[in-house]
Amino acid sequence: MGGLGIAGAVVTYAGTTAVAGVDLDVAVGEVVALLGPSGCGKSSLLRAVAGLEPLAAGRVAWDGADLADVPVHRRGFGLMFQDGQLFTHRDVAGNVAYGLEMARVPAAERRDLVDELLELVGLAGYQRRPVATLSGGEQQRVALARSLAPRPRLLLLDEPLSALDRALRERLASDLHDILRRAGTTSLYVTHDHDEAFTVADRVAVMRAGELVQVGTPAALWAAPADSDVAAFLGYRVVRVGGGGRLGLGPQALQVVGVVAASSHTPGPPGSNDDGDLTGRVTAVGFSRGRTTVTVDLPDWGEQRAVAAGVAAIETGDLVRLRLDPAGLVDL
Amino acid sequence: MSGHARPATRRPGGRAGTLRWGGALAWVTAGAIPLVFLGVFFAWPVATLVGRGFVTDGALDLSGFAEVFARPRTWRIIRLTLVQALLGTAGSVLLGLPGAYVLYRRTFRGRALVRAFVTVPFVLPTVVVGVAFRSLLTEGGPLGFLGLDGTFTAIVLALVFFNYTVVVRTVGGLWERLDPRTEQAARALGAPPWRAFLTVTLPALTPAIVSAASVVFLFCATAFGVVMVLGGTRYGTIETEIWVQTTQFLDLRTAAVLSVVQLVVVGISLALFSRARARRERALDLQGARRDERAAQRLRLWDGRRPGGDLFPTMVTSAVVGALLALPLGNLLVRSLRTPDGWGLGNYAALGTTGGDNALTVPVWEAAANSLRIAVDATLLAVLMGTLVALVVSRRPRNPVGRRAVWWLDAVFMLPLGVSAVTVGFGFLITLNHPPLDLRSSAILIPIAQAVVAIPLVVRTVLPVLRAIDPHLREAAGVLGAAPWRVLLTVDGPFLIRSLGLAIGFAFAVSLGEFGATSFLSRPDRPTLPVVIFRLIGQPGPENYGMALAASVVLALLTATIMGVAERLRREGAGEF
Repeated sequence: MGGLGIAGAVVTYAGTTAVAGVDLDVAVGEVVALLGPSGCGKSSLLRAVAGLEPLAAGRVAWDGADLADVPVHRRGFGLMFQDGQLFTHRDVAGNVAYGLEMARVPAAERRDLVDELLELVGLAGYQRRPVATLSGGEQQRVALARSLAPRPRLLLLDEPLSALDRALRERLASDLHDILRRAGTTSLYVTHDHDEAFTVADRVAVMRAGELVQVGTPAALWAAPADSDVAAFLGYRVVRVGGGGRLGLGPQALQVVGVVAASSHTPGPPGSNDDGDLTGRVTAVGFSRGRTTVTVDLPDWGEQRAVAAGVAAIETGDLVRLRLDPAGLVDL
Repeated sequence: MSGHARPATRRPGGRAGTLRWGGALAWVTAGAIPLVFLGVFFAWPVATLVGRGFVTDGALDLSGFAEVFARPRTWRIIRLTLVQALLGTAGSVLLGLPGAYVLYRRTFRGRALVRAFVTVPFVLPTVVVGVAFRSLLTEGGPLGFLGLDGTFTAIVLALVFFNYTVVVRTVGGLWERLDPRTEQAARALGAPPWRAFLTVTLPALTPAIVSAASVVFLFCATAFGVVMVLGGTRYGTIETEIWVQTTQFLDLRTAAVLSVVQLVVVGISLALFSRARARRERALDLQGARRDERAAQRLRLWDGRRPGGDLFPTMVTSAVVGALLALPLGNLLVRSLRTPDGWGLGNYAALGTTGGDNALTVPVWEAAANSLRIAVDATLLAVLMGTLVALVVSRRPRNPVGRRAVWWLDAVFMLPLGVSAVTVGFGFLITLNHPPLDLRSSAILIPIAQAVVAIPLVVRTVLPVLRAIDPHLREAAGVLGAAPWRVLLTVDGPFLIRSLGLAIGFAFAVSLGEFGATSFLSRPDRPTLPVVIFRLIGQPGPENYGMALAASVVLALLTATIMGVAERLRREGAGEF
């Protein structure tokens, strides 16, 4: 099959195993995210694919051909780092043109390609700017344009947005999604942020302690996390239910449906009632992204977040009735 | 100079105003003490000496210039100085780059040992280096067949021997901290290793290379001891020529003109040095790589069966360390054990005597004791003055006047680094021998002269450490209620003390090996070790030569031991050399 094939890849650093036998295929044109907490070995795997780390075992192949003897600069893979690693002694155009110079693209053609790529990443007209004058987001856009310029057959992105602030990260993640597809670039995208992975990638591979635990489309992953750790990492709150089972509560799973008793009244005991609804005491009230959210103390589950849509005037100390939305939770 | 007005927000206005001016006054005083010292013991003697050349009977007389420049000898000396300095610099840089790569960018068993060994030549007294090279190249020496004794090549080789370390350490220090991912990014963009080096790594290293090259150029252009021992009468530098003109021909005017020529050469180099340093300090804020990515990789000589990228630099470095560095030193040690009656410690035993035909006025051991006593005084002075300068220069005053003052203070205290030590020594003789300051017979004269030479090194060792302190640390201490003097004590203090060990080591080593100024000032009854060695090597007789070798070994061991101890106190980021 075409594209990238990783089989039984093992990467070790001075005795410790960073990647412990990973199998993963990335089809041509596909964007796959490697998602995992820091230290899980995802960056090491990426560096091994790039040829920057030797494989202790296993193989990395492109279109079925083993890459073990191919040095970094002959693999035709692009690489983008968390902090850009722009060449400070070159201006924006000089950075973007670097890979084209290495590929001996004639100067005129090079200029056109640079213009085209800067247009693509939304930095038209930035050619002569020194890179030191750019903001963090702009620097990452230049780094992306530079990586895309030689038309790599595979683009490796190592936490490209982690150094940016939240709002910028969200915007750039969706930009990245569009740019990668417009350029038709096969990509392997390393991140520890599940939202980012879901936004950018066609498929997400969850990594833990050097191994892949689950691979799937964002929707499939969200619908059926492999275990409670994966669920927790994807953003579910994992709680125990009767019979030893576990439930993953999504951000919308708990909804406040009404106030049982205001804080000034004598409180009844919290717990479940006959309808299957829950009651809990509000310990904090917040407002996030246009919605009131509350933190409630539930008898068995401890403090959990709940959405309070359409219920007005909730105060700390109130006893509220909550309903579980089956669409927002998974059974583990 | 009042970057310390922080309490103004916390205390009543009147008090704050007093504090503010008090702080400024303290800094001005701290800057003034070393300035006065430098004025009296550097600027005045040098200016007086230079003045001797241009002032005849109280009137300005520039005919000296025309006269001196009309002589072919002058041009020959200037040409020799420049060519020798350029070759020495080029050799040091070309050999030093692979060395910096192997010793700072790669790891291998025994790296720490090689790094320490490479440092030895730089702190060796110039006279010792001269003697070591001579005993290697002389007729009958291990490399005598090369016929290099007394040649220009020998001088250039000795200069490279000396300055190799400067390049390796300055460039290696930066290279070690460069983010390797920038080069990896270039590799991923299709650059083969050599192109990634040329287009990415080399530009990043350029400030450090320029900086190292200008220091090396400075050292080469003002070389004295090495050239005196190796050059004989055929080769010389402006520096040795000043010595010849003043002591042999008693031609002060020519000496003064040459001093000015040297000042111009030094001034240009210093300007370049200072600019390169400014660029370097900017270039250093770039790192952010994680530890594991930044760590030096293992040396890989072979890539499968093909030669790996590390093979060439490793071969060059092995050759330099083995042949250029280890051979002269090993040979010096071996030959010092050879006496006219066979192998043994005879030469060392003779250090208790005054040499064959009473070549010396005091036994060599006594000269060694003199050297140590003088070095203690010189070190105290240099560290005190150098620390004051570094403290003042590390401030970042808010007003432009203060900033300019700080910049000038920094620049002014670099001057002794390049001004001929011979000029300083001779200047002392003609200015400090009559009231208001008659120190001619005072024992403090030599330590003062040596301190003047050592101060720039102390400043350059301490200053980078103080400058590297995050200003936020001081602000945090201030906000937490520390008065400016307590900020100084609790924030700057600990950093300062860590860098002081190395500074003391440098000052002591410089003092022990100082020859240029000391050769003028040392009195026959109280010579220093380098003076004695130079005298011994100029005397006939195998006993005297053997003693010179033994005394050189003693001096080398003394300096190396002191630097070794100081080096142990060194922390990351301390110093530029």
